[in-house]
Amino acid sequence: MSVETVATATAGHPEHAEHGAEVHESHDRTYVKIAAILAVLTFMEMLTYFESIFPDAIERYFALALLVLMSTKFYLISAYFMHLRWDKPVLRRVFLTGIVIAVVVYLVALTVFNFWNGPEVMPR
Amino acid sequence: MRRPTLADTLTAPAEGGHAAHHDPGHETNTGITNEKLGMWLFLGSECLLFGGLISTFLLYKKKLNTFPGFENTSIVKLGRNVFDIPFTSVSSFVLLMSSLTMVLAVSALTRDDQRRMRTWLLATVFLGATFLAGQVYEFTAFVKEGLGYTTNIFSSAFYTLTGFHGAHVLIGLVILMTMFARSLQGKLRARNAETLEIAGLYWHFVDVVWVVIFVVVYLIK
Repeated sequence: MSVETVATATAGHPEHAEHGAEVHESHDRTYVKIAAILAVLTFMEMLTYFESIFPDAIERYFALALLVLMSTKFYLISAYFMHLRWDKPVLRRVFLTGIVIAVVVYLVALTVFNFWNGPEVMPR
Repeated sequence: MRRPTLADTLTAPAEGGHAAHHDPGHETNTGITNEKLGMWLFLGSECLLFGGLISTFLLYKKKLNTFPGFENTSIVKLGRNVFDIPFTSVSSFVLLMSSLTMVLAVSALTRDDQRRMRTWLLATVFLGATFLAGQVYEFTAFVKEGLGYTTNIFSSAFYTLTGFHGAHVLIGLVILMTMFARSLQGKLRARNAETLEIAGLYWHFVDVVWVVIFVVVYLIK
């Protein structure tokens, strides 16, 4: 159930307001927990900058680890703060469509410009 | 009495009988208001805008040495050594926390708790303004280090990307302050909480984009 649905459901219905307030209290606690997780993940991201504290063998996996942390943060914000977890699935599809198109289009563009390696093609 | 629409019939059992008759979103075929659907479509299209800017940045960063006059330029000196990662991490944290205060403001409004809603909304504005001030400070520091907008294609792409994001934050701040002014006028109540939720969607998107920029531009070598 989305937050606004709770709001509209409780408006003018005192018998529902109590239940709605409980739902919101529960949601608020979830938001704070998510924010704490996001803060920890950001701290972990920052730690990768201080390479000297890590063994050399681990450093090579930093890029992968950063991408995983980034994706996790992206998911948490869009799922919980943007309510995609509770909202109608069509909104999830709309947003995902934009992301997927963007990722595919620009991966193709980067590949066309030999971003991943190969000969230089930029103008001299 | 109004004849129930198809959306009413489909959604009423799942959402509870009362909700179906009060939520204006149920009057559309999707059960979502046009404003909210429009915002999500806009955010989907924004993914393409920022995707393009991020790709351009990555491409120019990688190909800098192929441009005349920059054959021996070290990208590390231009970028990673100039970036103040702990400072930017704090900025990122500030923006993340602004998302928390934003969602708490929406939550407070749905309870019609005006006082808390205004407090959280002001906190969001304050945190957003702090992030923006940090970005201005960062840009100023870079220029003093010799990394101007036209120094090279790397710096042009960097300033364009982060500048576009900063412009989005600024627009978000204007929207939030407008919401605050509306609440003072008594025009922001629980019954139209979706207005603030839609503004919040934009704000969270700005945050989500920064999550990507922070990693791709600042942290990954």
